[in-house]
Amino acid sequence: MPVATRKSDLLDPEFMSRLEQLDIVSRKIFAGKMKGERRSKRKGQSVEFADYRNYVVGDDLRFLDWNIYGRLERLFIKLFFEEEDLHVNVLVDMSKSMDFGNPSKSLYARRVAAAIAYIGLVNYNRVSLVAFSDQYGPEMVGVRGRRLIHQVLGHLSDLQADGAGNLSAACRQFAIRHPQRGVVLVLSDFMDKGGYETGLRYLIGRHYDLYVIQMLSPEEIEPNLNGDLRLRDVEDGDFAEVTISRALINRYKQNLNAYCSQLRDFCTRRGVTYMFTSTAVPFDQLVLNYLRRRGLLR
Amino acid sequence: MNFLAPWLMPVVAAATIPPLLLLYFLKLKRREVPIASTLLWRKAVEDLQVNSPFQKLRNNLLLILQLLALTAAILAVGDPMFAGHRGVEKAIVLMIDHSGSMATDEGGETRLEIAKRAALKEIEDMSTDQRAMVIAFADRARVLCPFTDDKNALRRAVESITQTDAPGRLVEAMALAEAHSTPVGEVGVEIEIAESQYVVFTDGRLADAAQTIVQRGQLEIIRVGASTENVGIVNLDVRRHYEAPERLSVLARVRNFGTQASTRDVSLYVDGELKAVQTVQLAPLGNANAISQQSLAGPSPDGVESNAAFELFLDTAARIEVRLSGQDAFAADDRAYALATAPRPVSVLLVTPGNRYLGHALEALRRANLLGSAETWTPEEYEKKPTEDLEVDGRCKFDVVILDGHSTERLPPGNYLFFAGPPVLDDVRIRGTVSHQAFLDWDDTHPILRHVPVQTMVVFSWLDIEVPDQAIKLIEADNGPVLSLLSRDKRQYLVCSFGIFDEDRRHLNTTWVLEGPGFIIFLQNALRYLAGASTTGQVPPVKPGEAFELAVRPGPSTVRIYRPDGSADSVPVQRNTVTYGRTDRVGIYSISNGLPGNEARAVNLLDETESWIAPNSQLQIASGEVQQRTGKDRVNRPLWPWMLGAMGLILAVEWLIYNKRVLV
Repeated sequence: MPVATRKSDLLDPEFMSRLEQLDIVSRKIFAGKMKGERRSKRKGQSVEFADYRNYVVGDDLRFLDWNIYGRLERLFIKLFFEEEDLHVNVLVDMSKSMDFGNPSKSLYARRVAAAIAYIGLVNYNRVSLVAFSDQYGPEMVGVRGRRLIHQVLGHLSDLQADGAGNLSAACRQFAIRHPQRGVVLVLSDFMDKGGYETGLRYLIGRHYDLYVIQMLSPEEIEPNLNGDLRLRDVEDGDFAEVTISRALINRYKQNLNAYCSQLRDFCTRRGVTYMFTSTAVPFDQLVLNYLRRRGLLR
Repeated sequence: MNFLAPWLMPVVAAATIPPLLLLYFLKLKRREVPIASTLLWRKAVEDLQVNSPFQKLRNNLLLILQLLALTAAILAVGDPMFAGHRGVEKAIVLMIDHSGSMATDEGGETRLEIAKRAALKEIEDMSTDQRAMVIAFADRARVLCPFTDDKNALRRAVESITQTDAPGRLVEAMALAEAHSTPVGEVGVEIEIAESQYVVFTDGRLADAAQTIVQRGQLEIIRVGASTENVGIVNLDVRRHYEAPERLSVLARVRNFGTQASTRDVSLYVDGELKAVQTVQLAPLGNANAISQQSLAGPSPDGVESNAAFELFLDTAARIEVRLSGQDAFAADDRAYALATAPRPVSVLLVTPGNRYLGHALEALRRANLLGSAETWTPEEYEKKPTEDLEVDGRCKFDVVILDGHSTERLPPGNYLFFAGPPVLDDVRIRGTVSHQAFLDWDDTHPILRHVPVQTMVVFSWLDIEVPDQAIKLIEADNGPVLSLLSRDKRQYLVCSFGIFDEDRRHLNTTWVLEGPGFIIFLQNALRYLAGASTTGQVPPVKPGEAFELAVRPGPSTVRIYRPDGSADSVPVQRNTVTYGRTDRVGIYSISNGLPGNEARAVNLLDETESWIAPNSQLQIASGEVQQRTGKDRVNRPLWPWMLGAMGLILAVEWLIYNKRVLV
């Protein structure tokens, strides 16, 4: 029976303080619902000048540039960048397969999600956390502000890996429910027998700034098995009877490499940032170094 | 291919194949391991199967390989044999030569040891339906193990063979082998005669090979040995001078049988003390090819032989030993022994009613110092004389007694020359008289007839005397022997069927005494031969393997005979005589309480055939040339190691396949 993770297991205060230096980088500028700390493509009321345009009837007279009128006797409207909030969405795979490995992939994924969420909250972004397995949810939508971090950690702590993964259905649901464009981070092992292509296409179609992190446990990357085995799939209870040999292990590794390469190629061709990590890689190193290098954080 | 233990194969097959099949068809119990996803594992398994050839066969390939490995193991258990050219002979006679030349050293082991090893290999290669017997032969042949299929008994028999110095003789061994190989059946009942295989392990130096006949079966020689270098003493003669018996001549003949010239020292030891040394230089007998094909017949090449002659003053009995310096492959002929007797003139008793020719002849010999003393008694005196006048220590006091026309039963152990009257013995009788006939045959190579012109002898009549078969006929006429030599019970009888005079002793019966020196030569030869050791200065030597007799003092029922190696045998005494036959090694054999002149016997090899150690590559027997093999050839090669090797190979292949396949 899975045991609920403590909040302190996800993020410790010292690490949180280091995360406060970071910000989430979006390669696209998105329109938000509320004014935030982020510059929007939409021109609006802010202090930062953007451009001029000719006055048309109905424009707010407060934005007329009187200095130009006095000099040129023509009416121009001053345009300013409007500062908006950023939607940061983290999709965490909580299927049963994520409960595998030491440390488990689900814990690792929730830690990453917690770190991203905290960075988003600190920078007044609108953070949404969506867990999925064979069904969509639970989710925490539109959280904003540093003070809500404890709720976020509590939500993540209560998540439990269960059920078979269904990435396609989860992505489809997400795309329907979250039409606002923003940064979307998918944390999964992508070992979905239904395939990952359909699900990712749903997300790509929404023009999110999409990041995919595939995480595998060391046991999956370098299987330490021998003998005549009956391998049981923890998600669907499927069995594979194998006799471990060097040839078989080699073939498994080749297939794993090919699988990961296909996913990476799929993502790269569609402008999706793909990252691979082993749960053996220290979590803080992943966040502080790896994600910064790949441009998600700065 | 045949099997030594075919019955084992079905037993092992029944015990192993069903469990293997059962195990194979039982589902393998696998350990259950939870994993994140079987997605990639399934794919890996499918990939391996798709990439492997013979997919349909693969499911059962391991089983087939295991069955093949098991089959190989079962065949190995059956002890398969590859039948060589031996054929189907069921009976094998293993004949192992343990004659003197088999003692030749061949790089650390003797030829006999090599031969025994080859014989053990033959036994090992026998199939279950074959029987074998073991015969060891030198001058005599002995059956060590009769026909049996018990390999242990055969092995023990082979291992029990010891080295002798006796000469190698094949005829007796072959006769013995054939006698044992002939099946005995009821009269009138046809029996299947199985051909025997006679396998002779020898170096081919068999003096009588040319007389050997194989009547049935095949003779195969397994030739052992390769050494050729040997120098040996081939003759030793010890004689006292006729005129001066205290002077002793020792003549040793040394011969080189090898391919290289050799210089050796010949040392003379008297009673263990070195007296003289002579150096002889010997040319090689020939090159390696030639000496394995040459025959001893015919003149030997110049320089291969040399004589070492020693003269010494010796007025007592002594043990003479001649040694060759240096070492060669064959040691038994590097020493020769002789027993010199004390000088003693021959004493003769002439028993005759009156015979001046005999009297004059003996007197002439005595004057020429060829005779010590001669007494003349009449037949009546001979019969009446007290025993002590005629006998000493159970033997006749005189070296030779000449009985002229007097047949008598009074014949104490000794030497007798009869003229015109045989000894009174059970199997010697007079059948009548023969007149005016010629002699048909005579043996002028015999020492008694040497230099005696028999062809010019004229004898008018002689007695037709019937003698036993074992008597040596020296002169034969149409109806029987004229001069014969009979030895028995420590007595030698030289029986001359005619006398000097006719029956009424008034006319000469022969012109022999009138014509030349023939008669006196004959008399001298006869006396020297009969008196034997007393006059020649040497106790007659014995060949290895021959038996000898020694007279002992009356008393004990057994005596001890000390062998050259220091061991002693206890031998029973029968009628004051011991007979000893275990003369398998050369050297001096001495007795604990022998009579003077009977204390010891020297056994010498002195056999050129044995000393010629180069293996005989062209052994000819009377039936033709014999098929020869060297000892390294093998027949009935065991196949079980190959079977086990095949099993190992199959298992290795199976292991490789097992490592490359996975069952799902």
